[in-house]
Amino acid sequence: MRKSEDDQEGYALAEKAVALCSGRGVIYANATYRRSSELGMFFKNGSLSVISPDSDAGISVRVVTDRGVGFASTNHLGAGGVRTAVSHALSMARAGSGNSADFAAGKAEVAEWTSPQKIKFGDVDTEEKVRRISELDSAMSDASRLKSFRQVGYGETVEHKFYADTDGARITALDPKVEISYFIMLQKGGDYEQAHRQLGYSGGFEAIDELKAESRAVEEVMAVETMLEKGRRFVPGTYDLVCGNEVTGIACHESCGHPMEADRIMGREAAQAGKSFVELDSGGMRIGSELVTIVDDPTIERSFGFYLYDDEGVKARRRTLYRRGVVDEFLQNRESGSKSGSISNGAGRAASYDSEPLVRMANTYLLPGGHSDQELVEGVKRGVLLKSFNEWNIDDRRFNQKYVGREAYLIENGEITVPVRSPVLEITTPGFWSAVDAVAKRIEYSGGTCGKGDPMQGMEVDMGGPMIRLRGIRMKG
Amino acid sequence: MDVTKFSERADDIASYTSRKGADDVIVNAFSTDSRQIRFSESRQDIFKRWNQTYFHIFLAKERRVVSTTVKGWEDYRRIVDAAIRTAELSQPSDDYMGIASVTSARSRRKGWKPQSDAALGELVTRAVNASAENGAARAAGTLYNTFAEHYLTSSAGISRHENGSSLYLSIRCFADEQASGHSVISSLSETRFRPEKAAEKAAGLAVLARNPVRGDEGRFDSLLDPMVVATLTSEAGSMCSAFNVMSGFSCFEGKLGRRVASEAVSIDDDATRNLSGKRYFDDEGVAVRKTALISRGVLKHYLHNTSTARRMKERSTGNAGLIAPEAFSISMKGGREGWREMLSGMRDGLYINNVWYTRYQNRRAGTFSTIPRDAILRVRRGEITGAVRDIRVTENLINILKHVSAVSMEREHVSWWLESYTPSTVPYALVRKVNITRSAD
Repeated sequence: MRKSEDDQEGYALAEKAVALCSGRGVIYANATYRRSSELGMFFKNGSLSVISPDSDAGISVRVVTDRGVGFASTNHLGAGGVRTAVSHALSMARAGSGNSADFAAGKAEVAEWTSPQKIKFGDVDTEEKVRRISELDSAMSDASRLKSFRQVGYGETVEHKFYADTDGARITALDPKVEISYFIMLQKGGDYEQAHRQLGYSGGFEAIDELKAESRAVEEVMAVETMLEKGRRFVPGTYDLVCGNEVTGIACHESCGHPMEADRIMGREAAQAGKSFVELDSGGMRIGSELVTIVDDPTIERSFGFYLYDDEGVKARRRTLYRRGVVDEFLQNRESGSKSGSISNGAGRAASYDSEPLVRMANTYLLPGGHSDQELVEGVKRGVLLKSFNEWNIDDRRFNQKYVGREAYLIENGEITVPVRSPVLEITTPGFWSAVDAVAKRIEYSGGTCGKGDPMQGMEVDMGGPMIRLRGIRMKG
Repeated sequence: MDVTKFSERADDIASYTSRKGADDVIVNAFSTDSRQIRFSESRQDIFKRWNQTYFHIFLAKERRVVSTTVKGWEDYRRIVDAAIRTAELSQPSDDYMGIASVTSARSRRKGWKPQSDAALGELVTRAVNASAENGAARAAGTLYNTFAEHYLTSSAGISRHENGSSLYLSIRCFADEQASGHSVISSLSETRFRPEKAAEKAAGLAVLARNPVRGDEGRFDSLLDPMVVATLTSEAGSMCSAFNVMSGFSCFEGKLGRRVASEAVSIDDDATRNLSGKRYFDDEGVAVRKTALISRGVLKHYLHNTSTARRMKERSTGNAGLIAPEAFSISMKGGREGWREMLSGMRDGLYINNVWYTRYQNRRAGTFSTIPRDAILRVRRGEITGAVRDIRVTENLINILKHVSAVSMEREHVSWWLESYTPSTVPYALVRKVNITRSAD
């Protein structure tokens, strides 16, 4: 991995910070240097509102003593800035009233990782990037004869990361990512429908084609138009429900990934992102049917949540959260692992150099079953296909969730028939997963920016899975 | 920090950017020293500190708009050169209409003496102890102590300086696993900051919320805590941003002069008040001022920066956001009754302490849902008779504002995490027939 002079200096400063922390009653300390280069652009109704070439760099130091944990960060990159940060972190770690976590994570790893860029961002000029995103916007505009309001965003980031700790771990990473998002509102007289989608990718500018952003956006606009032009009022009742890939994905993220975060279970996020209906001793608790196995896997190349070592120097691996419908493995970082008598499984992620690593998801999805998408529909006499959603939320224990259809259709006698507007699924987590009676083979992912922490850290994740069928679900209108 | 060096550097960056060909330039420079203590299970989890200096550059060249950032004391020339090159390869913005050239804002600076780490730790201890004394089994939350220097300089000849510090506590208390209360408190004055006040309220609500039963669906008169009202006013403020209106994503589009709330609702944006969120000028250097958004239920103004104002043939309201204007500090007028009187006058309804996860099905129509959390209290014949859980508010923003029947004389200054994202001074609000839903049986 090629290191610039700036990076070599940054790595040396991180090493210096760790050296300054050694001894002095420190149980564990780490320093993180990160430097990012970014390009963002935002189109509003076809006009480029702003383009943002940007960069950032800084160092953070985290110190653990038997009194507490101190975390200091600075973008004053020099020996003086780092000395001050170490001094602050030590002072704060000693100002606590007691600490039970040793942040141990087993073997100290020394490694490098990256996501290859087939087309490096620097090899495509800005004009071309603007043109491609502008074309995406135009394609959305042209996809419907109805009046449209549009917001389209593009972001590319290359982040150089270096992690060093007092256990001897040294991880160097080059992490390029692309995010494309669009928000559309179509108008028919006084009637409106909206759609929002976010797509994410680890790699280079090839993301534009690999993500099929334009064709997906056009399909989305056409679907919204169909809902406005032909969508019928939905009649509430009990239906068999077929969830599209996007709905499966959000349910995996919200009602499996989040409640299985160990820090949340132990109350660390109680005043912000909330707690969990799951307890540390809930291993084996049944949540869903035997068909429900949900994993979180950072190691999927090209995925938005891709990494091979987390931001605490721990090797990444796939975690099985719900296995055949029962609680299996929690997501852990160093702090939660040591507090719960377990160990980190590589879920410690920080959004930027000035953020503490928290327990985070990466790519959360339902493992595939054996059916085709068509077979799921064919097995329904009276049902609803909830292909995608707009409004969604879940309570802070991750037990009561709601998804309101964006693109939805009735299923009658095994066939998709008429579009219906905004059917509402409001259901508990066990109610949702225990009703699954068939899982399709074909998986799709959606990107997301997951929010957690204080200050809030937006984290790149993918969520997905195959289409699934649920029997006997109460749907509202 | 050397303030003169800091402002001179911002001036140098602005001058250099103009010399390189930018038509308009604004540099917003920030130097911050912020500390935070996070705690849960009544114990301190982590103590953090951030020392950061950033110079945010906004430039327009032939109406091509670029933003970028110089971090710390690095060489700015290479970053500005790249930004100018980006502008030359970009496209003109239909929305860009220039930056402010006059301001009535004054520079304001005051001295700041940081509190010791131990003193901040003591504030958390006081809050946790107060929560226990008021019946809480556990408490979680965040204490912030922030200090920021802000210097703005623009190619239109405006340069202004402001600074300020604040203390903020968010505390969520638990009486048992599913019985919680939440409250926040903030102050610009270290001597007037009383963390116990928020802890007492949160703990008291947690105790009342014990043994919750599953709530029912239906329409319920609901007394909304200021935590909830601040979420609604944050949403209303966002819908008033002229950028969101012009984008087509606001339920207030086309409704100026029309009723969007009941007579009981009057909302201003006013960052001139001596509360957290106070500022002297916006991101173009225009003096902030009091702007009526909703007056006795009627939508009065959108929020503008120079570009949106010129587009809509208005004047800037001093709410830049260089791309999108935004509300800075909302004030909702209080009423004549105390909130306890309002509660005692309720025949059959709910008291809702807090909400989270507010999401729209349709921003243009204003349809959304949000999830009550913390104390959801059942009120019958003016008395609190128990607590409920597992419910959702499924509503429309304009509809819920139109059903506000009374607001309390007491007001609280609230901001919390992702929900009440705009600091808001708000009363308790009694809303008739709020639509409550829940998960299917």
